[in-house]
Amino acid sequence: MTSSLHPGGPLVVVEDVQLTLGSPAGPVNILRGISLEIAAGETVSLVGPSGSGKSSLMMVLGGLERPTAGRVRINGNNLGGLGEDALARLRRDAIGIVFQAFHLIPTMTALENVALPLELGGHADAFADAAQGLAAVGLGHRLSHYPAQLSGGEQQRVSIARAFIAGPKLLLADEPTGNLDGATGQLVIDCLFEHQARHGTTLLLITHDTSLAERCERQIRLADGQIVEDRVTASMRLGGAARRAL
Amino acid sequence: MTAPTWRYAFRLARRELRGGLRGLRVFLGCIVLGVAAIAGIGSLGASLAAGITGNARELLGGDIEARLAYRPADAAEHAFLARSGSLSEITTLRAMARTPDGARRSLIELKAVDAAYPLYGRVVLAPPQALGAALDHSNGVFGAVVDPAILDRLGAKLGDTIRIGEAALQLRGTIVREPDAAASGLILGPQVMIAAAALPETKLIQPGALVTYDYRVRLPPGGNGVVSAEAARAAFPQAGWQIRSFRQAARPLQGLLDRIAQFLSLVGLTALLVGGVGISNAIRGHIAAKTPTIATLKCLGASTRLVFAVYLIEVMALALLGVGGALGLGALFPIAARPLLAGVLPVSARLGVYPAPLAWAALYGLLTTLLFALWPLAVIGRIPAGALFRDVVDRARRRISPLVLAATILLTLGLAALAVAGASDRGVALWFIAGATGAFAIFRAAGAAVVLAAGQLGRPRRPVLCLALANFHRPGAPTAQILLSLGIGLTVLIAVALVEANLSREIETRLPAAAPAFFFIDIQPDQLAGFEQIVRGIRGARLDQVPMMRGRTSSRQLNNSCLT
Repeated sequence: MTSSLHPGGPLVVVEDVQLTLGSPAGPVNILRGISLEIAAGETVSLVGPSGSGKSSLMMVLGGLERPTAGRVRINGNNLGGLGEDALARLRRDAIGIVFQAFHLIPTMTALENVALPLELGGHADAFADAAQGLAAVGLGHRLSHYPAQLSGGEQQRVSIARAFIAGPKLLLADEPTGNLDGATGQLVIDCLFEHQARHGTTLLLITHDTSLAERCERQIRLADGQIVEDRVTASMRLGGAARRAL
Repeated sequence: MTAPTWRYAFRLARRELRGGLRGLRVFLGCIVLGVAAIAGIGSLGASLAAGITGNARELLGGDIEARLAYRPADAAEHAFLARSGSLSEITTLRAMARTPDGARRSLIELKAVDAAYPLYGRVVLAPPQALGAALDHSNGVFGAVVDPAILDRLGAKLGDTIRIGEAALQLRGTIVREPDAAASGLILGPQVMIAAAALPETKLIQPGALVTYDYRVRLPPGGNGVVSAEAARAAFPQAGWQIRSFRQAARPLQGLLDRIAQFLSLVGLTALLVGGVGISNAIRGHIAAKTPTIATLKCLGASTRLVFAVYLIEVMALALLGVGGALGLGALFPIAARPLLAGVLPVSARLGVYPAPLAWAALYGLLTTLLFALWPLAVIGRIPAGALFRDVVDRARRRISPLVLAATILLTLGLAALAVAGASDRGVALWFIAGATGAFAIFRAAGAAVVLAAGQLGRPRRPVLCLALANFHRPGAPTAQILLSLGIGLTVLIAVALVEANLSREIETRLPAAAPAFFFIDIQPDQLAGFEQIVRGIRGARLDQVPMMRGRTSSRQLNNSCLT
């Protein structure tokens, strides 16, 4: 399904993806025939109970896990045909990831953490751009601080700045407010959506928070490794101003 | 990887090092101990070798020595030697020293020296005085300086007169240090040194007397001892003299020290290899702790090669730090050991910084670190980027990449080549390498077998046993590493104990069953009865006596027959 708000071609195409992992107790079917399309610039929430396959689907879309069967195309790249280094390059150039546990590198300053994707891409002005990116998330005064010297909300904002710094086409966010209190989480989510809107990035957001899921244009519900619901949210029906208010 | 990628890897490694040494102290400790041991032993060996080389002329008493048995050099030979440089003549023979009344006597090693003696070094006497003055003819008598043991044997004191042959000699001092003592060979009695001019008075130089004449030459600066020795042999092929250069004189002592240094170096290398297991375990733990960082780097687009390079640089940077510290400790080791060896060796260590043994030790350290770090670092390739999303059990097959395997083989060969190249006895080094390789292979295989066997056993009913058994073979269990560490460590301890026990047994079994506990010489016929009586008074003691006399043979008496 592709949203009518985003008439361009799909950025993400998933065709009958299956993922089976081995275990001492026998094979476990994690994903069972997932097919979907996500348009460029679309915001999609991925919801479902624990163990439904949300994180696994995100890993498959990020090229972090290879599906047992099926095909995945991101920005026109068939992930099945890419080697590990090519997948790493694709992530560097086209995919941003925001983790629940932030995963900033503890021995690097906030500035170095944000500059990392640019450095990996060989950008000459990595640190200048990273400083701007941190300023954009309200942390221009925390450039030389190490993660341990930042609060949880600040760490997640650094993580958001890092995820957006290389201008990714697709942003994968795995419960970005899961480790934050309500007020801080709200600030972080505002920051995330603001950046998404500014850059026109496709957003795939895993969350257990129904109000947060409603803030996306589209909601996909997984259960037992299958899509059981794929719908346009109320915010999509209400329009842009109401969506922002929501 | 390209040069900019390497530069970036260095930058990332520098950032990683900000995390400090947490978890890598054991790693550093293993490197420092092993490398310091090798560097210390090498430095001590080099400083002793330098001491021997520096004192080799003193050890011989000259640049070259021509030794003639039973006859002095003739005029032509004397003139030839005198032309080569400064010449000193020393005559040695065994004689009896006795008190003027003949009541007490002692076999002695009589050494008559000329005014030029010693050509190198200095004879130290007690009380302090010049050797020439102590031996001079004064107050109507020549002087003698003696080994302190003579005073006890003859019941004499300094200033007393003793008799050697027909000569009366005044005891004027005891010998504290004699520079050429190590070159004297077998000495059967305490030494008495007299002036060459006093020797005729003894009337001991008779036809057929067992006398050795040493002619020592001090060459002018720039003179080559070996060339002169060859020239001497060429000029007088029939002289029958033994000619030694100062280098040859130092060779037996140098050889002994080389063998000791080699043995100790191999012990040091063993310590480093045992430490290698510690290095491996420490890096494995470090990489495990860095899993989130490694996975994050991969998620952000870093290639496995870049991440591998980052941690390889980090490990080698720390290894360089450890090696640097260890080389400092090793270089200082001769200073600490010098006082301990002062009374053991005839030469003292020449202190200084010796780059060659330090370079060998550094190479050993870096190669060992690389060898033992390679496999734990190869784990980086198996850490999935997705590890950040959920706990991922290592599902990848534990197959070592051909590149890592090739590098491991190359490093092993490099280390083995280094051990062989640095050994004075290559056979011993090869056996050591074979033993070390075998021990590693056996204990690694034993570890794998224990893990496999534990996995095959059923589940015990008792929870404690079940947990204990599961810990042997659970994913990531350190069973094989622990078994390898314990096995290698205990092997080294047992090897040292066995070497000691074997050496003791060798000595014991090679001794004849009735080997004497004591060996007495120089018992005069009139003393024999009393001596026998003393020995027979000791329960279980057995006395065997053999009359001994020394003589000489000449070619005319031998008549071309062989002596056996």
